[in-house]
Amino acid sequence: MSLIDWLVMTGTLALIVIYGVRQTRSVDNVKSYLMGDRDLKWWTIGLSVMATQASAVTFLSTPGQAYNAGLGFAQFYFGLPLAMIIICAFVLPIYYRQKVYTAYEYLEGRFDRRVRTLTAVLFLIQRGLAAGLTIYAPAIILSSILDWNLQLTILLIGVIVIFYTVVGGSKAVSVTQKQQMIVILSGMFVAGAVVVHQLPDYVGFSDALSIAGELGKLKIVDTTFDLEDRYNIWSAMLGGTFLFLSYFGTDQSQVQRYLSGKSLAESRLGLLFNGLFKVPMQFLILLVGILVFVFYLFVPPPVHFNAANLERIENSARYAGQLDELRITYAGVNARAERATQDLVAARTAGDLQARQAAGDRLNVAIEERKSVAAAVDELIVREAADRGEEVTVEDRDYVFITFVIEYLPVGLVGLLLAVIFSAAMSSTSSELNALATTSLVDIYRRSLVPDRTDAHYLGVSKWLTIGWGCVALAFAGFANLFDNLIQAVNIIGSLFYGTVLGVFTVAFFLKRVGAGAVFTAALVGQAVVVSTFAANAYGLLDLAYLWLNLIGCLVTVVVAWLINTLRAG
Amino acid sequence: MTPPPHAEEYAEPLNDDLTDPESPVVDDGPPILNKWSDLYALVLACNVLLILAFYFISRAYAV
Repeated sequence: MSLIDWLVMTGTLALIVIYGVRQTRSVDNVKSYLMGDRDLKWWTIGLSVMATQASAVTFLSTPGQAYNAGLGFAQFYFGLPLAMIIICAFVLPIYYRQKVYTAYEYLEGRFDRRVRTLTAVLFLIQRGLAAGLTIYAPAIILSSILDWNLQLTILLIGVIVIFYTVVGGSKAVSVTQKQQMIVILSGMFVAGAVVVHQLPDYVGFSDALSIAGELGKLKIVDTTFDLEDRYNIWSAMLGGTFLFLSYFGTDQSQVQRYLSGKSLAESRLGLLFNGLFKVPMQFLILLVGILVFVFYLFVPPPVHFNAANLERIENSARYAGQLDELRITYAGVNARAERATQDLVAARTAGDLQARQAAGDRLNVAIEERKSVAAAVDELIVREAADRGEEVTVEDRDYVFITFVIEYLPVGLVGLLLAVIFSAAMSSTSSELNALATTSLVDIYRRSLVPDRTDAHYLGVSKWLTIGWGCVALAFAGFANLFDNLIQAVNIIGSLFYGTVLGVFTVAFFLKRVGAGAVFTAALVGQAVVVSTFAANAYGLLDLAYLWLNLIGCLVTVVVAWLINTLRAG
Repeated sequence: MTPPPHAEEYAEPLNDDLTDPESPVVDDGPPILNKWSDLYALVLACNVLLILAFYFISRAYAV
């Protein structure tokens, strides 16, 4: 990486942090520290909510998702606007009326302290682990591609985030997220423009879309009804709405963002801003991935995008020769793909439908051959790792965009795009640390352990809790490579608790006659059923994807709470 | 059966009036946007139009 890129990256990040710290110098009480004086305008709330959800993996992985599978992933977000409206109409007024700091605090007003503590603890376990992953996931990719030390990369992200989150609290998180989102969106827009500019002179934006369309990459709306497929319009509108309701309505890392608003109206407008711009933003990121795919039809792509995996094969006496042979085959396939693409553009320009069809068919065949060669290389990677007694992931989707950025973006823009990725990592991590500290202080420490102390005491404890959770996240990120499949492990842990929490909130909002005893018992039953189901799955008695645990936990909690209440009433 | 102590509070009708003094959309908003439900409908309509635009654009570029 050049000196200019280093300057652009560090300069951008430093300016954001300095701005955040300067804006929050007046933070001197616990309310201000945890809720940011509740004076934020709707655009800051909207950008903050978007930045919290969009982690670095979003910007590394989503273009790669489009590169592999097209624009269909955008459907995943189609349920989000509806979820925003439901939260604005029903959930936000309740939180505002209760003047709560955390979502779980509301549950004490609605039920009792037991329910509040139970849900707060479940959140802390789940989000504490997720914060480590939010730092680890981009660090492993950046360190691999840029040949940086992994532990230093983790430390770099973690220490900067802990610093400004501790110093400025919730307001620092929100104001830095506003700047970070501006950098992120500008960076992705510039990246898209540069990809189009890097295409051959005779290929314009419309041609690029036409090529992608020929290969089925532009199919954004899939109306096929398939329960096993996550990315169709039906699963998006049903499952997606449900998922976003739980994430935005009950997860403190999001609730804290919009409760920092100046008024109910500002918070509502902030969430509606998210509802209006989230789908276009995801579309922009996916479109960049599509353009990178078209670019790699004219320039041969690596046979595998994770350079660290390839390097091990190149250094292997047993497999290096086979890799060379596959690379020769790959070069031939890429040459055929390029010729077919050129013919396709020429036929489109000439308006020759028959020639266009023929070129499209040849291009599709070449792309399938390209996938076969890549699969053969993946096989070599797995076998080489198995020889060393290790398991390795061959999924290289997360490395596609960053490889393009490093190899083909001009000097200066590489630094900007790296600032985008670091900004995204820091924006979501800061929200998580802030929410973890707030929940620990408000729902556990101040409520149950050390009540009735001075504001200055709680302010100090809040800062130490932020540092503490930052260290937990750093420790988890630092040792994350000890886990065989980290992302799956964290998702499973999340799925073990998320359904029960959502069930409790569903009862709170919609079953108004159900009381604390019923919902607490139901939550324990729900959690027991989830853990039993998970154990049955682990021992091979069931074959169920772990994501279903969310639905099971929620349904059991709601149904049991309702049954207990009805039986007691009878 | 006795309802939970806070049940009535949660059953209060929600303020749907955009002309609330605390609302930043109070001054120059077009007359059709005088309720939050109007704004919700507008956001939903924009998204439906967006999805339809995506759908027809992808069809136009598909073979």
